[in-house]
Amino acid sequence: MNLTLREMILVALFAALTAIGAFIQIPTPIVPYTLQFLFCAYSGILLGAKKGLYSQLLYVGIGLLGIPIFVNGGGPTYVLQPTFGFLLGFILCAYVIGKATEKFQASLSFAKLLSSILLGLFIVYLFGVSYLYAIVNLYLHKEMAIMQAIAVGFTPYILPDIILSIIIAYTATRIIPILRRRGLVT
Amino acid sequence: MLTDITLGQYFPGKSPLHLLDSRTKIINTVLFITAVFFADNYLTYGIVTAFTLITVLMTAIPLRMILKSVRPLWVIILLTLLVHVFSTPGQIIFHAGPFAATAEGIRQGTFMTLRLVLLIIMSSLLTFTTSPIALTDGLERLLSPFKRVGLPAHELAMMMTIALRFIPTLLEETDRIMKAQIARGADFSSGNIIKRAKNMVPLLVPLFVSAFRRADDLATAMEARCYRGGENRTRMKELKMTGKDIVAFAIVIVLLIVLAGLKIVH
Repeated sequence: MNLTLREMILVALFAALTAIGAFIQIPTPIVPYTLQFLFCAYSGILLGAKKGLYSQLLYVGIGLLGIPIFVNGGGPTYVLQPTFGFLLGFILCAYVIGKATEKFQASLSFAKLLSSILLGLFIVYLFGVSYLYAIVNLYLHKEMAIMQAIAVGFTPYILPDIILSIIIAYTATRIIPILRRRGLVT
Repeated sequence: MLTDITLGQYFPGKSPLHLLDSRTKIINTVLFITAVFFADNYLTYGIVTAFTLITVLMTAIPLRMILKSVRPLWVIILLTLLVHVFSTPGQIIFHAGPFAATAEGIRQGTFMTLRLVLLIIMSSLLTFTTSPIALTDGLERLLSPFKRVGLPAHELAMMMTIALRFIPTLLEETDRIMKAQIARGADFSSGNIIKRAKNMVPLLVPLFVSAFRRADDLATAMEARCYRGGENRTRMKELKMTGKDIVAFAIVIVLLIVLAGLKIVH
């Protein structure tokens, strides 16, 4: 794994922060949603691709082990939840956002950050909606058109998530310089 | 507010299940899950249901708490039941609109639903009777044979323990920062997107700064105490297999053999 002790602890702390994100529910006019994605994106932005991936992997692993840190609890049977695909998406999403922002190291602008985050968000939905589709059709043996899966898993959440992405990109442009000045991130 | 959330569902107790080694409980849970998949008729489903009921009663955990762990999956449970009842071909019992419920469907639906509920209950019993620390400890020991192929078992368990340890701490911190900033006039719940985004900055900056600082402090503290990974590390609470564990293994293995045998016979 080749991580220093400090890096391993940071991976653990960002897994903990993602769990906290799941507990913070923000009521919106359409659907209540959580800040999980914010911490997932930040784990990629602040820790980089590899460690971001580890932190999300650790988060999902702890939840599957049975500690209730997902939005609806936890445990191995959580893989049957139609929304489990979104959690799988987070793992890759942190990696992709990390990879994309690592590239722009020197000049992190709002536009570059936002495009990386939206790319990550796309991956979350790609996994989330396909998993939703697969679980309903293959496990429940219930006919569901892909359009229906999109209507249930995509349409109600995409607008708040895009707003959240803008918030993440904006706050990151302010936060990264502060953390760099203190020598906390590279 | 945020700090009202209780993390984990460990329910301390002195039941035979609580006293088992966490490794025994992890392995036996996996064995039981396998056994449940062998069940396919009234007799075998009866056996696994009875086994689950006896185990639940043995743990002395209030039934209310067990049911709470089933609740998040109720949509899936209900859908499993309905889909099987209405889509299995066979002798029609009654009609509900355009759908017909069949005798075979009701049987199949009941079995599938029961299987799902038993799986949820048994896997949640693991975390009800095992503290998170014992659980990660057990996991580390179970995964340590895979160290040879490059799986960092000790590091994985260490990171899990740290994450679990810091969830309540960071939760409290988030709460405190929010209150501190509200006291300074921050507004987290109104305004347009740009205003809200701006308001998030004074929450996120201290949160991340403190997370990074904690990581530094903890790394320094661990290195000052000569932490250098799992090699030759001793522990305060050694996991020990006792006679109880052997009995538990024997019971679950007998259950597994009986169910596999009945499956072959039929």
